Amino acid sequence: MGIFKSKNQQKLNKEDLWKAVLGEIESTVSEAQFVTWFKGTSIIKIENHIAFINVAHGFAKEWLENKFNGQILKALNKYHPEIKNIQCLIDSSKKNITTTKKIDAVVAPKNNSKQATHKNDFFVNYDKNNNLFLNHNFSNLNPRYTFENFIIGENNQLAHAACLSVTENLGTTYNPLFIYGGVGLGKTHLLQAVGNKILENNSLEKKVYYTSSEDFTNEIITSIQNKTIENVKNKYKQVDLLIIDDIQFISGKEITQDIFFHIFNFLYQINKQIIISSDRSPKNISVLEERLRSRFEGGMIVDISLPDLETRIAILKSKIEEKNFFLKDNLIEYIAQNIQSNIRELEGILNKIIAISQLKKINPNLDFIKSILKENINNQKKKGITHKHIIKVLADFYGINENDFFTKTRKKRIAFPRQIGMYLMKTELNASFPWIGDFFGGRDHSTAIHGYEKIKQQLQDDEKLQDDLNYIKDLLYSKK
Amino acid sequence: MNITTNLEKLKKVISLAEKITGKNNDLPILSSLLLETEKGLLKISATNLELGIILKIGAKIEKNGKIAVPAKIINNFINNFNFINKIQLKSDEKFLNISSNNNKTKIKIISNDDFPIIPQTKKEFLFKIKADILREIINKLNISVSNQDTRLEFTGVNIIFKDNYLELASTDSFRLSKIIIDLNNKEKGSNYKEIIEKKETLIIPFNTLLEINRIIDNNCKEIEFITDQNQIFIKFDNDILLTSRLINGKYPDYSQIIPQKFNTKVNIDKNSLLQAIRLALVFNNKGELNLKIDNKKNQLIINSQEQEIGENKTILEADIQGDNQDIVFNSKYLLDGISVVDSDIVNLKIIDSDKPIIITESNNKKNNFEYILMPIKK
Repeated sequence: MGIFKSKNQQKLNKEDLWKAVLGEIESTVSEAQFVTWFKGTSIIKIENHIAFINVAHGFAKEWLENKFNGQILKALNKYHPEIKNIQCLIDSSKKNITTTKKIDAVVAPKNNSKQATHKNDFFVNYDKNNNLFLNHNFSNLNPRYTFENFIIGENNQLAHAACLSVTENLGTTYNPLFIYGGVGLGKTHLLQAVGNKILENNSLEKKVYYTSSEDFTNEIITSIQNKTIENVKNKYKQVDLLIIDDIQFISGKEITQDIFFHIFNFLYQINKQIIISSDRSPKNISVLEERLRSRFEGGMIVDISLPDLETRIAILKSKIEEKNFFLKDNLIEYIAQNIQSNIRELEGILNKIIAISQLKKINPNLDFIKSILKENINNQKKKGITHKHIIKVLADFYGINENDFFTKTRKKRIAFPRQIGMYLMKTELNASFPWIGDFFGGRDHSTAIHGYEKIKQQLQDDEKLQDDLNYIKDLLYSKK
Repeated sequence: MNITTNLEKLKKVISLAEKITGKNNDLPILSSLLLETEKGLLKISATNLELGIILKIGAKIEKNGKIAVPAKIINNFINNFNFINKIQLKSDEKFLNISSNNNKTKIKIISNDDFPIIPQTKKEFLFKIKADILREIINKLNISVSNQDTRLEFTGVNIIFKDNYLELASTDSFRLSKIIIDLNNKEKGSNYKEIIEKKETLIIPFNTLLEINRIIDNNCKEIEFITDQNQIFIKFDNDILLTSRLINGKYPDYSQIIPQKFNTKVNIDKNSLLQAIRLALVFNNKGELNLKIDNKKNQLIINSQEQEIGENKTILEADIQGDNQDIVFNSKYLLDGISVVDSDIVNLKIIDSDKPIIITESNNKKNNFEYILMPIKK
């Protein structure tokens, strides 16, 4: 974390300097000119009194060096008087390209050729029965996810370190690696980053395959229909790194689990790396075969928890930079303080702020941000969940009858879910204690307070309960 | 400026330059040509910031100068101007004046302060290609290049440098054209070795190649390619310099998908095969056709059908070695590959119905062309 911050600090200095220069130049040239010549420019380094500037193309290089050099130098000298000259370098970094998928080449057109020629998402939704691609390193990865653009905080430090270590010792140190955590916390990002890193380093020798357990299931189903199940098995048995995302969806699907088990065992025995992600720990995946569960637990299990405030701020800042937008620090902090649940939501809010402020051509201020956040927070809380809904989800989850909640029984099997119910009604619906007490079979408000406090207390150190509760909340808000 | 030059030569350079101007751009200066005198020559420049071009022609110079004029106007004008062989261009502060006995023209000059500087290089050439070879291969690369910029690297031609040859490839991921161009020692620059050692590759935008093709004329023998800082400079021996950006990105390692072993090899007459494919195209709305190889009868059978329309079948004599085959292709893709083949006999190399096939020329010496096409899976 320490290193990470100080690097950022150094970068900011150069950035601020260049921002100041751009600000000055922007006022003197037309917008079109400014965009054409200065878009995507930055200072790479300052060395021997020369400022090296990164430009998009050769024309910009000529123009900046020959026409704007005086103006740029003058502006630079205000802050850094030691700079005597500028020199432009043409950006040759490959990362600026949106599509740098390193693999695949010739693929079969889909049966409907008209469609095939028009559709390029073909690369993503390629024909899964076609094991030719696997032989030729078709990995299914999105190159956008890399370690470089992953923001490390306390919440994901361990997971990040484990993933990095896997890239260095494929199949030996942590195998299988099991990552779990709530939605939108960066599991997929990490998983794909491992794959991309492996491909980057040894794209020819190593076969990487990424799939979600849902796609995997579909593949199994299709292959059963086509009687090509052996092909699928063989395809998976060829990989050096198998990444399966959201494994929890495999629960309850027996044949898929069975086939997965065979593939898993095969790869594991010959020291091929397997990385798995899930929204909960292996213990908490219901209807998972015991032999799979124990295998998952046999490797390294790491969790990603909710990001802390600093991490959320860092994430926001990096997203803002990525989107070429500007927000004042206090606004960023305000957003980070108010959106705590997940990173995807952070990004969503940010996108909304950018879109609206660009549409209405306004500079975002605190009131503006507040109004957008308010909408969003309201939306989220009042997704139409009611006390009835809570009861229904809890009854499902704990496998008890809905009516049991309202009886006088104090059996733990009933009483504990009831207390969870009280807790959720307080936190999610903000109901009053007397109301909650009354709701659960005419109990006293102190009973409700006790129930709430007990769960709150227990949550602090009971990880299983935390997991359960997160899952229950997911159920609450996802399914109506 | 006051110069006199040959009208026909001027027509040619102006129309070449006009193609490279920027259209619909926020920078209006990009839609103009820059005319200036330089060392006894008339120099014309144009750019759209992707490509830049500098052309020089001889001129009798009375007075030096530098002006920018709207490219479209001067191009349309010059191309329809036929009164004299020698044309005089004379500028004052506001206008470019052109006159002959019975015609007087004034074209408004644009301020040239903002005209971009077209990058040039002092570096030596990296490699040279003969003009006639370049012309020949452009069509072959054209068929496979992608015109969708969702994957930018596929809109260009990839060049891999080898000891004695260049390997060029284009693909839209459904098919791939691969061409080998032999280089002799004179055609390799002194920095050629270095680029092999670094295993560098280049992706040249296909538009740039099309532009090269347009520029090549009968006087053009050899074309020099120079790379410098993510740009490519193309020098023609008729005093034209083209500058282009290279495409940033990593080209897929296609060598892995090119099959090496085959179960069936077919030699067949190109024109009859083309005709059979064209007929088959009529009878399938989806643009698919079925290709069968019968090794006993030495026949290649093309057929297609559509319930609503009818069906069609052509049986061709062919020289066949190996197994029988039954494959479905996208008719257009197949047609593309065979139509650019430069020999009377086409070679087809086949593995089976779901592996790529290779189409080659039978006199496969000149430029080692291979067209790799994925069948449609049944």
